[in-house]
Formats: sequence, structure tokens, C-alpha cells
Amino acid sequence: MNEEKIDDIIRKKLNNSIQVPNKIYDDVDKVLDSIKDQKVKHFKKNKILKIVATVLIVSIVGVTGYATINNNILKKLNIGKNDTNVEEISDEVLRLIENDSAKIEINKLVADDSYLILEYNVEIKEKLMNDYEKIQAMNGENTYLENVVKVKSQYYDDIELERTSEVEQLVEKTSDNTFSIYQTLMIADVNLPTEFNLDIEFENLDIGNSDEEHLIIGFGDFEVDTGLKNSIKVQQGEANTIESETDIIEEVNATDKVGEKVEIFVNLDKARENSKVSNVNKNLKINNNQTLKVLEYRETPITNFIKMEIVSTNVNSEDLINNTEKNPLNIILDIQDENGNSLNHKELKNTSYLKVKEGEDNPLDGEILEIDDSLDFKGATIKSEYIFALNDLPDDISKIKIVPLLITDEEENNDNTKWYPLKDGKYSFKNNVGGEIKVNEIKVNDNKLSFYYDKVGCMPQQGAELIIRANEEKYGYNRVFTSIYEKNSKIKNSYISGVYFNSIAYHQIADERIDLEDIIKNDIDNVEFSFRITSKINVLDEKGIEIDVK
Amino acid sequence: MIQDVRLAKNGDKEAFSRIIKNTIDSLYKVAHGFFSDYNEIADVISNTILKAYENIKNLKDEKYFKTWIIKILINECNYIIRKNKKIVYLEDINKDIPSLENNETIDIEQCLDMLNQDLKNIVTLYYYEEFQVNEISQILRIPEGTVKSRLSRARKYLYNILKRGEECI
Repeated sequence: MNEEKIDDIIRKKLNNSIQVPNKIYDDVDKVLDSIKDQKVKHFKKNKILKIVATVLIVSIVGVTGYATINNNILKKLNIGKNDTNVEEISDEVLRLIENDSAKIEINKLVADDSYLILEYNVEIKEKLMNDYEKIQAMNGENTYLENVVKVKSQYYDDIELERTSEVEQLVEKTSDNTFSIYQTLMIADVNLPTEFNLDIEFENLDIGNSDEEHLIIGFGDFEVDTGLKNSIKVQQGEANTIESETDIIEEVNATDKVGEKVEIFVNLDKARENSKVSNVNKNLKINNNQTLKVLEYRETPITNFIKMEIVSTNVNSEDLINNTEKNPLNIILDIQDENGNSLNHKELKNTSYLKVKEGEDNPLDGEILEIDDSLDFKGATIKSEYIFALNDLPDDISKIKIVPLLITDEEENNDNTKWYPLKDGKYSFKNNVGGEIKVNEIKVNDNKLSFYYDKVGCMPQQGAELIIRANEEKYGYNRVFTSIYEKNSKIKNSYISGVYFNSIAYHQIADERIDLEDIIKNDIDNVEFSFRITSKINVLDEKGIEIDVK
Repeated sequence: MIQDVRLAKNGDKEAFSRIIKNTIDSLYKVAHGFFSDYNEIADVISNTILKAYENIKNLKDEKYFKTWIIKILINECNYIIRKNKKIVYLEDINKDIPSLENNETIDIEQCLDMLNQDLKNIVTLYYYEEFQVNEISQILRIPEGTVKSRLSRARKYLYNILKRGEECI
């Protein structure tokens, strides 16, 4: 029986199983009546601060033989620093997961206190080649492998490392049916012991990036024999393959397992020998209620990162609702050189926690939980934790300063935006404190746009974003927002380039994702761009906290 | 509906009432996937409606109202669960699809209750509310591939349960 028929049967059966009680209509009426009588409360949170650093990087390149983790790979993953020597801290792992359809060879693990990076090779087997080629043909040459094996969740001892949503991965095609995959897990926010066991669960291979034509190879229906040293042998079973296009569900001997787990022993000794930790512990009182603390600057083999926090006391929910100056979510931290020029960084963590005063009648019972819109509180403490990676500091820099800024206004619907045609030239965009983005060069090729620019003065990377618009009639919308994605984030000669399947521009709603390649080929004269200055900035303390980075 | 959403974005409370009344059944069915107690379901729906009213002006595209409010509802359900459940046993996390004895038969609602929350969410959104895979991916903030693999597991499981009961095949 095909998938569609099965769905119809299940749907019919389920729809008869839940009866909506009449009482709920009365209860909802009461809520709606209360709304009519109430003044509306609005929580205004700073959207910029809530950007989640989830990036899927897929690179398809022709490589002879298998690649291995090196500096170039880290650069492509946008995590490494210039002088990284990952070979020193990489360990051979050698694990095998195999079924009728595919083979996964786990080769290496690179680990320090900033990242875990797993390297493995995937081979699509002969049995699946017909389906695979069909999917390849449907999706086109450059789009046949989207997200690969999921590192679903990890535990060591009783500490949970859930990293599914933050996995960044790089996929390199090494032959017609083989891929090398590099998956990273940011771990700078946890304190790990020197030695631990890492459990990694492989759920599925997902091939094809369009909605209709996917090929999923599951790894959950296999028994594991852990008897062999340094390898895990998988008993052969029936592959779980699904091809939506032709609605095929193969009958499988389903067991209750989710994915295939492998355990890897991790030792951070060598990485820690090659790390340098500076316990900074400097405080800056921003105002009567808020203190900035710089806790630690750490140079690990892979990444340099800085840990900071802002503690805001005596905060009421109204401060968030009315977006007063006491709203800690509006503060951003700018990393600057000694002369006050903003430096690029990568945000690894930006999370706020709320603690309500003890003894107060509050919905959280004094617990620290992530901030939630529905809270109502008085006199609370909010702790905002930040970790920034600083991998591309200019060579001549020995000190940096962390400067707190307040975003006082968002101009999301700024009708005064000045649009420019997508032509090479020099362009300048300034914010209200004199910070400037100077675009020096724009390059357009078949599938990529690159903007080369310098930043001068206080221009935090959250304070401006590249926007592009195309022909509304033809593409169904007139404005596409992009985040500034700074692959090479040096002050000089910065550039933005698209890595999302040849597209720099994407919309939050997948259905409206722009096909930049098509636009570049056929409609480039109708594309315009601008750097939108997203916020008015108020520098809270120009001196900030200064720390040594050499 | 889209016109009413547009009016509601501009503060029209009557229009807001109309669109909510149109979505009560959906909200109830999704919340039912999280809670069995009526009072809990009514609470999360109330909170969802209030939050939707507070934030509707930020809804960018009127046609995604339903996706948007379901997302709020699910966040609300997760919040209540997180608040009430301070200890999560590993067995609960690992339990995905329960196993049944050879001759055991159960009805479909019972077997839904036995699924873990991840799979239950997929089943509710896909089968009850008929959301597409890409929409579910947005609502639950998980990759489409994960939606598909979970859907596949849930489909097989439910199908097998139905086959065993021989109730409708």
C-alpha cells in the first residue's frame, strides 16, 4: 500500500478520535471578552539578540580522495583561527556504521574546550544507486545532499549536551557516490572533564533538498555488536528507504531504536596543554542596575573566545513590556580595538536567564529558567551570558575593549532606505554614532555575490544588515533580508558571500526563498541593495573593559 | 480569514475574535497532543490567545497566521511541561516508539499517547492539521529531514497498530 493511502487511513481514524468539547468554546469566549476589556501589553524584545547561530554549510567540491580535517576545513566551517594546527589535537577514531544502502566510516575527532569536530566519510552503495541517481537528477547537480547524518544528542555521565540545533556541518563530495563530512559541536559553554565518553547517535542520511524528492536512509533498525575492539559492526538488516516521489514504503523489520549510537572516548589533555586561559574577572558598572563582567579569555587550538555576562537587577516585567532603558535585552556588546573601531566576532552564546527575588510570589519559584514572554515579575535579576569567538583579530592588536551599547530604536520599516543598483563601485553607509561601512567592491559571478567592505568607528555587526530586493512582480516579493555573514571577518577587506546553495539571499519563510542564481543569470539589472542601519546606538561606556589579547 | 488577520493586526478586536474562533478546533487538537487534562488544555489555549493578541502586529505575513499561532501554542505547551516537570528520566527521553506484545491490540488514541512527544507533535500537525513537512519544520524548528524521518517512523507504527486491530483495513 502506498504512503498516500496509508496517510488517508490514519488521518480518517485519528480525526474520529478527538472530539472538541463545547466547553472550550465558552472558555475561549471568556478570554476574548477579557481582551476586549483590557489594554494590550506588548513585550518588545530585541530581535537582534535572539538570532540563533544555526548554520548549515554545504560545500560541494571535487576532491580526489578523502580530505581530512585541516585549517582549510576549519575556515570553510567558519570556526578556525589562522594559526590553528588541528593535526596536533586530532585523534583517529575508526568506527564503521553500515547497512545495505550506505556505509559511514568515522575517521577523526578533533576536540578542545571550544569545539568537537567529527570527520566521517559516507559511501552510497550500489543497491541504492538507481534511487540516488534519480534524486540527483531531480535536484540538479549542485543540490543533491542537504543535511547528512544527524548528531542527534550527546551525553557524558549525567551532563546532557544537546547540540542538534547548533550543529554546523560541511559536506564535500569526493566522488560520484562518496562524501566527506565534518560536523562541529560548540562546547565552550560547558565545563568538561579531561576524559569522557561521547555518545553520538546517527539517525539518518537525507539526500535531496527539495520538498518532494528526498531519499532518507535510516540507521535505526540495526542491532549493534560492540564486541570488536575499535569498531562497531552492524548486523545487516533491511534498509529503511523512502522515496516520496513514487510513494514507496519498503516493509522493514522495524524495531524500536531511533538511531545508531557510537561511543567515542575523548581526552582533552593535549588540547589543554596547547591552550592559554586568562581569568580576567573585570567588572564595569553600566548603571545602578547593570554590571558587565568579563570573566575569561581563552585561546584554544581551534578558537579564541571570550566569556562575559551582564547582570541586571531589580528588573520588572514592565521594563521588557515597555522596553525601558532597564531592558537588559537591548544591550549589545561591541568588541573594539583601542581606537574604538568595531572588530568582528562570532557569537557562540547569547542567552539570558531570569531569577525572581526569593520570597516574591512569582511564577518561577525562584528557579532560573530561560526568559519567556509570558512571565510577570517584579524586582527580578536577569543574567545574560555571552561567549564570542575572536578568531581573526588583526596581527598588530594587543588589546581589545568590550563596550556596552544600548539599542534605542529599531527602524525595521525604514522607508527612507536608499537603494543602489548592484554594480561595482564605492558606497558608504553611516549610523548615528559615526560608524561607517565603506563598500569598496562588489563582485557578481554565476552563482555568488560578494561585497568587500571596511568598517570604521563604532559599527557593531548587529547594527547593520545587507538587504537586497528584486523584481516584485516576478519573484512575488520585493525585499529580502539577509544577515551579515562574514566568512572572512578581518577589519580590512571583509566580504560577504553566499554559501546557502549558491544563494546569499534567503527569506525566513522557506517557500519564498529567492533563487539568486536565476536572478543573477536573468535579471541582474533589476536587483538593488542597501546596508540597512537597523538601530540607533547609544554608547553606554566608551572606555568599556580593556583586556590583553597577546 | 486573511482580511480578518490584517484587521486584527491593526487592532480590530472583533476581527481577532473571528480568527481565533476559526482556529479553536486546531488549537484544541494540538494541545490535546500534549495534555490529557481539560484544564491544562484550556490554560495553554488561553495563554496562547493572549500572547497572539499581544504580538499579532509583529506577524509579517497574514497567510501564515495559523502556522504562527500553532507555533505559539507549542512553545506554550513546552513551557508548561518544562515548568512542571523538573526531573526528566532518561528512559523517557530514549523512549521513541513503544513495543507491543505480539497479540496486543490498542486503539489509535491509546497508541498516540504511547508515542514520545516528538513523534506525537509530528502526528498531530501532519494528520490532524494537515500541515506540510516544510511547515512542520518551521513550527517545530527542526530540519525537514528530521520531520520526514519521524513521520516515517510514526506512520509505520500507526499503520501496524491499525493493521493489528483490523479495524479499518
